[in-house]
Amino acid sequence: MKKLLLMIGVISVLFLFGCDTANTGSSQAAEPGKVKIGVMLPLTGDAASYGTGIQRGIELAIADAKLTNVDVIFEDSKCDGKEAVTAINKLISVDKVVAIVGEVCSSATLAAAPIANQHSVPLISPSSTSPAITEAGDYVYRTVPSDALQGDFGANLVYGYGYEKLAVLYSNEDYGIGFLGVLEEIFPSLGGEIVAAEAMERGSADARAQLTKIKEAEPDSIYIISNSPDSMVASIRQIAELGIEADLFGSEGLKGPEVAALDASEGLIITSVSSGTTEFQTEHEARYGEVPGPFAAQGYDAFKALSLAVKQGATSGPQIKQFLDSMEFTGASGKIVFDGSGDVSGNYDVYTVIDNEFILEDE
Amino acid sequence: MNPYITNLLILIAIYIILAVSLNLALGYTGLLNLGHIAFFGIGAYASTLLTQAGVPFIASFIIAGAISSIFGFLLVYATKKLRGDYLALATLGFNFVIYSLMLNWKSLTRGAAGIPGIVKPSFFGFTIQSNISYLIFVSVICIFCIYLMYLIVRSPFGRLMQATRDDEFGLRVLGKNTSVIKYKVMIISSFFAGIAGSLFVHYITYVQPNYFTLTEIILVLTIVIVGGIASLKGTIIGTFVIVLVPELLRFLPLGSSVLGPARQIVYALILLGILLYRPRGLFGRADLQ
Amino acid sequence: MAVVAQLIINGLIAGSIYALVAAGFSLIFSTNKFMHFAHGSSVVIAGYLLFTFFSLWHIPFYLSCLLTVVLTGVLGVVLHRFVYLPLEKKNASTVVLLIASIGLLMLFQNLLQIIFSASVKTIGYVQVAQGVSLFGASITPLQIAIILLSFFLLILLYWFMKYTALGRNMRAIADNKELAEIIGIDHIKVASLSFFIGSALAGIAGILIGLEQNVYPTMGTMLIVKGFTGAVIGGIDFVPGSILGSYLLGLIENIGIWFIPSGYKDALSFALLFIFLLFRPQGLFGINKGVRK
Repeated sequence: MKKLLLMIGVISVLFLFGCDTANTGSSQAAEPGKVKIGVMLPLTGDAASYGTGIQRGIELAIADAKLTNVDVIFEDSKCDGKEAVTAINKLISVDKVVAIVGEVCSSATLAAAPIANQHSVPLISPSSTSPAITEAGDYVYRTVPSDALQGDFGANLVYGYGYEKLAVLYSNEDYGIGFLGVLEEIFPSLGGEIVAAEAMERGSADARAQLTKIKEAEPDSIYIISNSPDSMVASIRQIAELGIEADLFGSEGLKGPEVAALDASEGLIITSVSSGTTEFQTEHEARYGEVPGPFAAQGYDAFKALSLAVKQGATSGPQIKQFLDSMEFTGASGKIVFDGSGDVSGNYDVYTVIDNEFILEDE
Repeated sequence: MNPYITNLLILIAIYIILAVSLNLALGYTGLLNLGHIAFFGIGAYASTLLTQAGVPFIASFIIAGAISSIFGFLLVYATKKLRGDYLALATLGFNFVIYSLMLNWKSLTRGAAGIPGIVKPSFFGFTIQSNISYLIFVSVICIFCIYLMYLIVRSPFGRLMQATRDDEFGLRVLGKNTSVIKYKVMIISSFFAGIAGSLFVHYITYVQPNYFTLTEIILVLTIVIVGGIASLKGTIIGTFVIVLVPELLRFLPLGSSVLGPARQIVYALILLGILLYRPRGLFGRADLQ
Repeated sequence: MAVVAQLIINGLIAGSIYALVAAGFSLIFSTNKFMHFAHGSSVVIAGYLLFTFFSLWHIPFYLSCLLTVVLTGVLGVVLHRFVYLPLEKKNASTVVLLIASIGLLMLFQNLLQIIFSASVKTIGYVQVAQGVSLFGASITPLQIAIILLSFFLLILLYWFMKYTALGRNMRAIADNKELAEIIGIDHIKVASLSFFIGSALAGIAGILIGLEQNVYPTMGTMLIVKGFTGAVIGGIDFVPGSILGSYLLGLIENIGIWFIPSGYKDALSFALLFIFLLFRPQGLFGINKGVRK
C-alpha cells in the first residue's frame, strides 16, 4: 500500500517536474528574439494520413524559412476536440508558443479556437474547410478556402461540363455534410438536379448499398465527397464493380496516391484547393520522393505566414496577428491574403486522372 | 496557475465524477455496465440543448443528470435478465445505439458537425469565464459528488449493494429484492455520469458524437480497473494516473510520427500490465466478476 | 428486379465478410467463453502480412497466403499463452478477459501504424473491373470466391464441430467446462488449438478482406464490431450459427438502407445487436441460454 502511494507520488512529482523543466525551458525561450511556434496535427487515428502529409509541408517551410531563433513543437491532437483543447493548452502555457498551426479537422479547430482567442495566440489551420471557421474568432485563420467556396466551384464545374443529373456520395461528418449542403443549394439553381445523396460512415469500406441506390437514380455524374482514403478507394472500386455508368467527380480529399493508383479512377475529375506550385511539388518530391499529400502546400503556407511575421520582428501573438492581417505573399498554394475574418479566397485546381496520375487542367 | 495544468485538473475532476460513478455500478454492485459513456453523452447533449433553449445553467445541469438517470433505469430494467459478459455486451451495444442516434438525429444534435458555442456556466448573475474559476467550480462539485457517493457506499444501502455483488442469490433468499437495488444504483450512477457530461461540454464549449466512442469507454474502464474495483480512493488516484501518464509522454524526445501511437501503446500496456500482474488494481477490494 | 438482386448480392458480400470474421471469433468463444476482441487485430495483421509477403517481398501469391494463415494462427496461440492463459490462471472473470482483449486491439492498431504508417495499402493481386452480371446484378469473381468460401467454411466448421474428436471436445467444453474436464479433456490444449484454428480463420479472412477492401490500421475495430454483431445474432457460441447470423446482418443492413437514409446503416446493426442481446441473447441458433453465471 505504502509502496503504491509512493509510486503515485513519484509519478506526480515527475509530472510536475516535467512541466517545470519545460517551463524553465520556455522562460528562456521568452528571451528577446527567440520564439516558439506550435503545430498540432492528427498524427494518430483516422485522419493521421492527412496530419503526416501536412507535417511534411510544414517541415519544408521550416527548412526554407531558415530561422535560427524559432523552435517548433509538434503535438498530436488526433482530429479530436478534447485532445485539441489539451494540446493547445499545453502549447500555450507549457511551451509558451506565440502562434500555432493546426488543427486539420474543422471540429478540432473549432474546439481549440476559443482558447486561441482567449490567450491571443493566432491559430492557422491548413485544412479546416468548414464554413463555421469563418466566425471562429479574431485569432483564427486558415490557408485553405471555406467549403462554401469549393461547393460553389464544384457545382459550376459539373454543370459546365454539361451534366444535369448529379448523385452525391458523401462522408457522414462535418466536412461531407457541409459540402453537400452547398452543392444542394447551387446545383439546382444552375438548372441541374441532385438525384440522390447518400451518406457513408468515415472509415467504412463498403458503399455498395448506397451505390445501388445511386445506380437506381440513374445519374449522369457522381460527386464523391470524402477525406477518408479507406472509404474513397473502396467506393471508387465499387462504382466500377457495380457497372455504374456515370462520370466521377470528387472533392480534394480524393487527391492522394491511393486513388490515382486505381485503374477505376481513370477519368475522375477532382476539384482541389491548390496542391502547390511546381516549385513546391519539385521540392517535396526531392525531399520525400513522393508528390505532396492533400493540404501539404497549405501547411507550408500556414507556417510561412508565421515565419514572415517573425522575420519582421513579431515576438508575441498580438504582434503576429497584426502582421497576418496586413500580409500578402505568394506561397506554395498561390497568393495568400487573409480577409477580415481570417479566410483566404479560393484558388482551386481541376485535375483529371489520366494513366494513374492526376493531370492538372489548364484554366 | 499554469493553464495547461489547470486544463488537466479540470479534466481530471470531471473524469473522477465519471469514473467513481461507474465504480458504484461496476465495482460496488457488480453491474457490468460498459455503456457508462452513453450517460455521459446524454448528459452532455441534454445540457447543451437545454441551455441553448434558454434554460438556466443550474436547471440544465440537474435536468441533464435526471435525463441520464431515466436512461440508466431503462437500460438496467431492459437488461435485468442478463449476466456477465452478455450484460457487458448489451450495455456496450446500448452505447453504440446512443452514439448512432447522436450522429444521425441531425435535427436535434446537428450530427457529426457537432454543436459549437456552448455557453459557460452562469448562475446568480455570475458567469464562469476563466479556467481557474472553472477549476474551482468543478472541484467543489467533484468533492461534493465524491462525498455523496462516499455516504452512499457507507450506508446500509451501500452494504446491500456489495452484498448484491458478492452473493445475489443469498440476498434473495433473505427476501431482498436485488432488482430494485440495481435499479436504484443505476439511477444514481447514471445521474452522476450525466452531470459529468454537462460539466465537460460547458468546459470544452463544443460537443460532437466522437466524444462518446469506444475509446472513451476504455479510458474510463481503465481508470476504474487501475484504481481498483470498489475503491473510491483507488478510482480517484487511478484518474490522476491514467490522465497524467500519457501526458507525461508529451515531454519525451520522441519523433512526432511515433509519439502519438507510442502514447496509445503505453496506455494499452498499462491496462494489460495491471490486468496481468495486479488484477485488483491499486486499491481494489474485490475482483471484477 | 435487378435492384432486388443487387441488394441481395450486396448483402451476401457484406455478410460473407462479417462471417469470415465471426467464424474464428465464435470458434474461439465457444471453447474459451470469452470475447476475443483482438480477433479484429488478427484479421488486419493477416492483411498486412499478405501485403508484406506478396506486395513488398514479391513472394509468390499462394505461398504468401499460406505463410499468412500459419503465422496468424501462431499469433493467436501466442496471445492465448502469454495473455489470456495467465489471466485465466488468476481466475480472471470473462469481463477482465474482454477488457484485456480490447487493450490488445488498441496495442496492435498502433503498432501497425508505427510500422506501416496510417495510409491505406493496396495489395493489388486482383484487377478492378466491372463484375459479371448475375440476375441483372453485378458481382466480381473475387466476391463470388468470398461468398463461396464462407459458405464452404460454414459447412466445413459444422462438420468439424460435429464429427471430429477435437470438434466434439470443443463442444463439450462449450456446453460444460467442468464436466468436460472430469471426463478427461485437456482444456488448455483444446483452448490453444481453438486459438490456432480460429486465428488461422482470421488469416483467411484477412487475405480475402485485404484483397476486397485493402488494408489500413484502424479497420480491425470496425470488422470485429460487425463480426461480433453477426455472431450475437446467430448465436455466439455456435460457429455455424454465427456465420448465418453474419449473413443475416449483411442482408438486413443492405436491404434496410434501401428504405431508410444511408446514415443509419451502422445504427441499424447496433440496434439489432442491442435487441438481440435483450430479447434473445443466445442468438437464433445458439446453444446456451445466454443467462449465465
